[in-house]
Amino acid sequence: MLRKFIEGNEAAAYGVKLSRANVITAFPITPQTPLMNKLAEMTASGELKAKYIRVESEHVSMSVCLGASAAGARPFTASCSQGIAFMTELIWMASGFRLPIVMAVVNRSISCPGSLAAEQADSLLQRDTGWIQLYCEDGQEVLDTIIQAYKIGEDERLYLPVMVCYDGFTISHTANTVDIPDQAEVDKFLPPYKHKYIYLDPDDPREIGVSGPKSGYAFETRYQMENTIKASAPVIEKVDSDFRRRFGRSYDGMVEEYQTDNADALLVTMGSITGTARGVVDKLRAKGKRIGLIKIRAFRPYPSEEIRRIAYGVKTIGVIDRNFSHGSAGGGIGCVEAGRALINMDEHPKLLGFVTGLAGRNVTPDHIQHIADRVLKAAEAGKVEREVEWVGLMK
Amino acid sequence: MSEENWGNLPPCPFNKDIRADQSKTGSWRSIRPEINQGKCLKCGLCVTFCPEGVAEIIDRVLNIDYDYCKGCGICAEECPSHAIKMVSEVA
Repeated sequence: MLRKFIEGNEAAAYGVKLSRANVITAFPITPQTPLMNKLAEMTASGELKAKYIRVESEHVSMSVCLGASAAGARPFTASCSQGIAFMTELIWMASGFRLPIVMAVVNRSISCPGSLAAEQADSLLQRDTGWIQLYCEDGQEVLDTIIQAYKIGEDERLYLPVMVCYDGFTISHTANTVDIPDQAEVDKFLPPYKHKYIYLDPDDPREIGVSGPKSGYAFETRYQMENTIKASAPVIEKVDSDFRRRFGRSYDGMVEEYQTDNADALLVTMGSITGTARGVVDKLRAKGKRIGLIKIRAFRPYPSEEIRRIAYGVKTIGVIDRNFSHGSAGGGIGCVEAGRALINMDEHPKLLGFVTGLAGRNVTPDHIQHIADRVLKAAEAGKVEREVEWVGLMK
Repeated sequence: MSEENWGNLPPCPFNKDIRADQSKTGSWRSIRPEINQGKCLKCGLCVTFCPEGVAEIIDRVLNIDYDYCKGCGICAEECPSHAIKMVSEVA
């Protein structure tokens, strides 16, 4: 094992290399570019044996990944923001074709107005496509999750594509110490890829993406997809626990509970904000406040059962969204989703939505402290004064 | 058909029993390209422009594979010697 002080994008590149991805499709977009630069270096030096294809757009990038995966290669690509938006048509194909492509999404604000910095609306807008979505908190988790993503997606019960999402700049361009596992160990964890059902052979042309034994089964194929992505939850848990046994690190599968014992109030976070929230929760716990934290790692499939179990007996939940859903039932995408997960509990907690950190606006401990105070106050009062609050706006 | 009994789909949307080339897309056509071999210069522009790859010149004779030609008419539009005419499939 090697320990290096590297940025999140470089950690991602090591994850790709260790996974032995052998087709890389690259179209640059800030803040993903350093990841693709690193993979280009690795391919040029022979350190990574892969076909590195410089495509003319994100639309083509995912198209090439589809063909590569169907032909038996292990493809990797990465994008974000407008790139993901342009790629959308093919994102649906990847899941519909049931090809286990892994794509890193270096979360960035979407136009217009936009910025180059972190915001999770870009990947969350693809939440209904049938892709598994995993969100990471730091560089180490990015590296480890990319390896896990191939293992999850290529499981023969699933064959689903996986997005590994991490916040632009906050994670992609921030260095921390990252343990880089040995190739031999990763090889034992992640066997070579071979699709059990699909092949692409010019001498024996077949249709991929047909809707069943005969045409007209598109509705049933959708239902099959729903069952499949739901069945991925235990696979995500199992792959993470297998990973812990081999590499000594784990991310608690679908969700991580932090300081949730006897909590009256909970915060829900996803991505880099989690680290800041941990510190605030620690401080409040030291003062005797009964507050805890749920870190959502898998947004698809959504961890409804886990959330309900953790929420049992809790009075209020504050969902912190680094995304927006204009004109929604209330709050960001995460808040609306949590509401559905909680609503049929016999006694469900009250829900508060917080939208913050859009377009890379820094989310400070003070912001989280403010949110935590609101959620604790609502727990004490037994009522919600403001359903949704945008935190950190300039005067 | 209900949630409990919803058909018998293969594990992935891929059918080994159907070859892709069995799907004769030429049946979608409403107008067909007709070639006047006498006017044809064998320049190959239609071969280049055909989006389906169904036009080819074999032994200096232009041939169109009507099993897969969808009748878009690009060949007729591009032909410099007006050797291709689009005619109705139904007389």
